[in-house]
Amino acid sequence: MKKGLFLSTANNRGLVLDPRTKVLATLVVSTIMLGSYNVGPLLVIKPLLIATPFIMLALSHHFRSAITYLTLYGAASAVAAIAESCLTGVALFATLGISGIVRQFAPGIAMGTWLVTTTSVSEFMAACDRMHMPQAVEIPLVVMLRYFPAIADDYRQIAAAIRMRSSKTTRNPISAIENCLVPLLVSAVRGGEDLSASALVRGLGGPTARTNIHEARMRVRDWIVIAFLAIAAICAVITPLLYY
Amino acid sequence: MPETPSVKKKGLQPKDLINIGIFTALYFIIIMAVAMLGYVPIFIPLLSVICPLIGGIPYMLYITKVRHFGMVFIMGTILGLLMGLGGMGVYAFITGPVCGLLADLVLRSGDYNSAGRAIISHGVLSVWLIGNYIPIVMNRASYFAGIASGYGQEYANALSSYIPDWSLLPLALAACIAGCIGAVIGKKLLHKHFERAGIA
Amino acid sequence: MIEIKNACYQYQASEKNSLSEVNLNVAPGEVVCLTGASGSGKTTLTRLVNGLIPHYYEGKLSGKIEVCGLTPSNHELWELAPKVGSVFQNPKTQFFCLDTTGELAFACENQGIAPDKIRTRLKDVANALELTDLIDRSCLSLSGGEKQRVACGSATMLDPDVLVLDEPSSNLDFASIGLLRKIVAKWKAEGRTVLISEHRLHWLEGIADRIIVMRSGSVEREINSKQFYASTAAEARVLGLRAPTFAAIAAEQCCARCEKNEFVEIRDMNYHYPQSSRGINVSRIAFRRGGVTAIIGSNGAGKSTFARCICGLVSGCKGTKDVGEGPSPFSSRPRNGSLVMQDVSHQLFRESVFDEVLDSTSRADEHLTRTILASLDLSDLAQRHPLSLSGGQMQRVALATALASGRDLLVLDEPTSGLDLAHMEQVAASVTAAAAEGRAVVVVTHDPEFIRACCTDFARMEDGLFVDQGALDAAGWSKVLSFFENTLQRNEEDWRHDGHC
Repeated sequence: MKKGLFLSTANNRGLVLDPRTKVLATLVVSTIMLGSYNVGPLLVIKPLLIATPFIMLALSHHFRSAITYLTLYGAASAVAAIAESCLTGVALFATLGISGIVRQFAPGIAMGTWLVTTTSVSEFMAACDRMHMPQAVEIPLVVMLRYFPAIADDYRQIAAAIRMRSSKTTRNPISAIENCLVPLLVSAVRGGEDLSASALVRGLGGPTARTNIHEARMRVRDWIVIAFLAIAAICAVITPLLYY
Repeated sequence: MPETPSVKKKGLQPKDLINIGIFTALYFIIIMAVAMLGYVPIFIPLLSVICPLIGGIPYMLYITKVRHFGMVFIMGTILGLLMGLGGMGVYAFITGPVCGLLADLVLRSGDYNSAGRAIISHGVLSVWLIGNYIPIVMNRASYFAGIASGYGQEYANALSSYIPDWSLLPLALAACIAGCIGAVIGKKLLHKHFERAGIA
Repeated sequence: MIEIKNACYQYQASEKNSLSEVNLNVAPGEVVCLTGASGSGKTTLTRLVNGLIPHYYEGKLSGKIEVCGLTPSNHELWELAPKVGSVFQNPKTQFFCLDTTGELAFACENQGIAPDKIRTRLKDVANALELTDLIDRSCLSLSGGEKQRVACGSATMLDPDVLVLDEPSSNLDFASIGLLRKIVAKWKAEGRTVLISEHRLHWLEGIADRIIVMRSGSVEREINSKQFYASTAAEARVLGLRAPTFAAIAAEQCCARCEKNEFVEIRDMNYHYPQSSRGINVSRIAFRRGGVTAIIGSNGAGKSTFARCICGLVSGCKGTKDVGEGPSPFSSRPRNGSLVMQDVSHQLFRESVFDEVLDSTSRADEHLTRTILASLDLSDLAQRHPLSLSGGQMQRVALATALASGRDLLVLDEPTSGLDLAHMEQVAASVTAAAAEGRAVVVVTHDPEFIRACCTDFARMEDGLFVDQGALDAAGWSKVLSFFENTLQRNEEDWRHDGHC
């Protein structure tokens, strides 16, 4: 199975959720986990949210990412526990801070990974259409997603070409960046002109509302996930009101 | 035979929207590539300087390709949206559009044709990056919650004060200045390469 | 169907007219080829028909243009889209979606057609153009030829009366060109009007009704296709055109000879594609110093990967290279191979051609730089920005940097795709000059005319193995020719077979 930003294909996907559910889940998990309150019902909700990315990745058959996430989170917690028992002063301060940042961001980033690796561009666009996203955002967004692999490909070629040249040009970091960015940008702009031409002759940007052959649809499983997210969100909102 | 002048249209046309997509992709990839440094957490504050420094290069090319109100606003919105979808929380989704809109206003005040305004506008846009730091600063107390129970609240408070609430301000300022410097570098490369290569 | 009267056009950035006083009439159902040197205005003419001029490219246009009863300058592109379908040169850049189904549906979605209807239409088009095995695939997994066929399908989805193709075969190998031919033949059979701008015309024999030769923005002459396809390579060369038929190429003398018996030797090369059982296995192959070896083979045989491997650009590729100083790994510096890439704009970094070459010499040697530029006929371009040059010129600059670096092994990956006769011959001359100094030059190519122009030896690769190798004497040349002929003909037979059913 091909992995990468929005490059999922139809086979062997395990659990299939509507992209809207996935977007909501990612936003809810990351926002609550990044929040600072840690009392009352959130003492129950937060561990559940920490487990969510693992469950989702596993249900979508992304076992390696699921294990990686679990290991990272576990390691960060263990480091914090060990640090508290045997470090003092600045070292303790720094270690706890770093471990805290990792634990705070890891669930959200894992959710984001899950979202982008289990959704295809067409599905995502269908969901955008259903959410009535304006064309001024939708077109750049889809072009951007389409361009990531192209830029990555260009970059690989350019990096190989740089390696092939004798190394003296790349010693200075500024000229190294210049060497890489100049061909990359020229190639992106030229490719963009072709892409614009090909999209315009096929009628992009006309006044008629676009249709989409993929149809976004909410199923029971989507509603179950959404119900859980709603409970978590409500807890996150009322907790500070109750305790502060 | 009458001459048909090429059709000039106002506002963002589909080809502008495609260019916005391409340059947002470039900008985002550059930020992500630099952010890989963030795996070493000590570099995290430095990212707010390095990202705008390099981001200025595609930005200056970008504003030669699209010259309409909304271009940076949409870019900022999408950058924020991607950060949100990438699990960085909703803060960047607020700073992205806001800084993008302000940068667009700066550009418009120069009629999308002034190099000075272009440089300032990139400085303004670069401030959006602090959206990614907001959770770190807001949440710092909880990192040290464990110490508070062992060493006493005062000790934890003292440590927390190393990262005061206003520490976001110098970060924002640094991002803004780095953004302007990045745009100056971008302007130089524009003359040196992109204009001569015939793409600017 | 297409009527152009006294059309003149000047691009905004340009100082001279790209088209001057062009007249063209195409009747419904006709297949017309536009040909001529690069910059002769044939691409510009296709843009007049599909409406990209004046709607996308900015410039000054005059004259009367009518396509399917519409005047492109008075109608928006989305109004023209259902009447005119377009296919462009580069299969990599014309895709809007990342999956083939979305790409096929794209034009219909833009017109707001109901999803059910689009699905039905998609099935019909896929069946008609034999794209069924390409449905629901990620575009990233497609070869260039497959992408170009999907692009043809996408252009057909709105059932247009007119199809405009801008150098569609430039980046394709012979087998893919054969499949493209079937698609154009199908369009012709369906009664669609087709306008194709193209350098290599042999694949359109029997389909094209008229050949229009352009020179510096005007129609130089119009040739009836029977007459054109009966002409020899020499007659076409007078018009600045590539050989009209395969037979015309075969009838030419081949090739330059190189008798030198020093070699650059590759041994025990072994590479496995990640996540695949396939790979490349070469126990020994030698490339003649002072000669130019053409590597031919079907698409996917591993030619490009082989080229990248021997230049040390592929990690995980085992094997050794011997330039006469004992075997060393492919990546060992400084005497590793030098590659001129397929997309050559990825390997040019400096702000002028002179700096680009100077930068590649070992000690910033200005004298050597001037000598190399002169030997490749690049002195006039020395102060230009490398990325502002045409494709053929960029190939030669990359070749110059490879010469400047003083490597013994020089590899070019499909240097002539999309080049007209003059540029192809310039590249061939540069390659010959590069080899003359005693280097071993290896060229991966699908272009028999280029092989004829500069190669001395050949090697054929299939499924990751070298299956044949030899000098390009009479016997070798006929082997190369029959390889190309077979690749093309296999598909022609399929096509004839389908025609009978």
